[in-house]
Amino acid sequence: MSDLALILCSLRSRWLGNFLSVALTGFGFMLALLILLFGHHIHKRLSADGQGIDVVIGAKGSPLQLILSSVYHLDIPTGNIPYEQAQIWMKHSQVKRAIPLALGDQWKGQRIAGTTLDYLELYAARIREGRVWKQDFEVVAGAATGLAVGDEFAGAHGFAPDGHSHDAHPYRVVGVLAPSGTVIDRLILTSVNSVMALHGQSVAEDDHEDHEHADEHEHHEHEDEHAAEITALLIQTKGPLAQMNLPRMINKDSALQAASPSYEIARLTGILGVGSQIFRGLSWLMIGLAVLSVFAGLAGNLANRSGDMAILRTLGYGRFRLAFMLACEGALIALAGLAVGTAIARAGFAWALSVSPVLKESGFAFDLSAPGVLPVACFIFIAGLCSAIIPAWKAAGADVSKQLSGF
Amino acid sequence: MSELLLKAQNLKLDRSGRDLFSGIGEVCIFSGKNLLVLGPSGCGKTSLLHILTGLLPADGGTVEFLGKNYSHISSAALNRLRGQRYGVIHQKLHLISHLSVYQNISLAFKGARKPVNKPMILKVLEELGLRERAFHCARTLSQGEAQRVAIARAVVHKPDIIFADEPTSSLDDRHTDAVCGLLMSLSERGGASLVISTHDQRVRDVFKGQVLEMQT
Repeated sequence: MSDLALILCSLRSRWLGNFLSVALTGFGFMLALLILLFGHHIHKRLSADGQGIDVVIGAKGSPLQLILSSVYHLDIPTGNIPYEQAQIWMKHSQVKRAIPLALGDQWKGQRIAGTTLDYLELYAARIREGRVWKQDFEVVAGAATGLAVGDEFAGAHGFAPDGHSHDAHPYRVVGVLAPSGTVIDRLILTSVNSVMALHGQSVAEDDHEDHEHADEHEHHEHEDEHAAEITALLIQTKGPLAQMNLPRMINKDSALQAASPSYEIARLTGILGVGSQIFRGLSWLMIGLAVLSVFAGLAGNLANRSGDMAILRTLGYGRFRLAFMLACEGALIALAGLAVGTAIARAGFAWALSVSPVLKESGFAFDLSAPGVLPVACFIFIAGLCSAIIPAWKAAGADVSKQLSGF
Repeated sequence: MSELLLKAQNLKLDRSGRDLFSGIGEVCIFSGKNLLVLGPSGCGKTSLLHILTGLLPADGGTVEFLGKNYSHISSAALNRLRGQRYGVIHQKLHLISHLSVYQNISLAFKGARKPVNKPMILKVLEELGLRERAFHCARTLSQGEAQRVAIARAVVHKPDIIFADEPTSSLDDRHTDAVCGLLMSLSERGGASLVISTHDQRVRDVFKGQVLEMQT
């Protein structure tokens, strides 16, 4: 009978206590794993969606709201800004690239964003089918919108699905994007002028990429044309210095608001961090309890097992061989806990994806190579091993003669 | 002529200020020869067996196996020596209860660093009338069955010396004769020396070999 078989038999003989230790370790690891995976995914998505955007200019209000609405398309915009004023900053010497965003409509809850082709370039988007828009009311649909080339639909006003429908001016899908794992997967993109035209506005022809089709503006729903407005301006600056100076200048010298995505997201994750820290603390507590239970299981049973140890010593097993075998029991419990935790987390993950299409669309993956997973797993394994070391050390130092004489 | 396997000289073991082995000068175990250590309870028989098997260090004196002094070899070598050359039967602590009879016996081979000889295990169990119990859990055995399995474990890997501590302490006359007969026949067939320590005077009547009497 091999040492491993002996260890497994020993574990099986105390299956209930070991089962509880494995379950505790497993639940602790599952919780830690899911927190790490969610945290990593959110961080990855926030970084990908905010890539290349140094400053966002929008209407005065909450800077976080401005970032969430214009970069991540999660919140309601703070308002609109005059296109004329935005143009001043678009042409500023410290600005490398400026992308206008005109929001305000949606289709079945999916936002319609009026923008320029630079927006596609920003996210390195690829056209999976069709082409980019060339005329007003042509759209390119994100991969997760469910739209196909040739589809026609009418946008609805506002961000609630029951908004007033712009039935007189339907959009036509001319292109569909390949999945990118970024926010544009769930956006419907068109020219700035398309959105403006629906709301009784138009931009000056020289600033409008679709100037050839300016005559179509006659078909506005609203008879009276208002001054052109956009929702936000996404700015890529020429360097770190500009990234610092530009918001200060805009906030000081204009009626507009400038916000930095990196700063606001750092603030947001700081706020959300309290919740995740509580969960993280809970998972560490469970892991700690699991380690204690492994220790209690092995140490508490040592008295009962001292006879077995004594028999093995008389059969030629050395002190350290026995101590190693006992330590292996702790390590195996920890390993089993890790396997169980991974399996439960995998099942929980599959369930979360099945009930939340948003998670699926966002590219949430069960990625065990995510940062932090390996160190936590190593910690649990080492903790399991360490929890067995004290009982193993005691077993190694036991006086066999006394044990054998005591019976 | 028999070879001198084990030799213990001038052993000392202090217990409550008293040397348990003051009356013993030298203990020699020759190959194929048996030794009966006889004495009342508490005289130090079990301690002597533990010292001879290297489980307990003496407070003085020397123990040598084939000329190798226990105090000059490493603990790993001593463990190996015990596993390969000795078979030990304890008074009461016979088996590991959560293992099967077969697994308990196979431990003797693992301790001796030898490959497990399944046919040999089953043959010995057959001889002891326990073949059908081979794969039963040790905790389901009666005291007598457990003792016979412990005997099987002590002889199965063909050791040079078999040590048995109080093998008949809880047995009636008939079973005492049977166990002693079994131990002697198995050790004789395996070419091993048998060392029995007991307070049971009945053993003297059936034992063939040298007798060492200890006093309290």
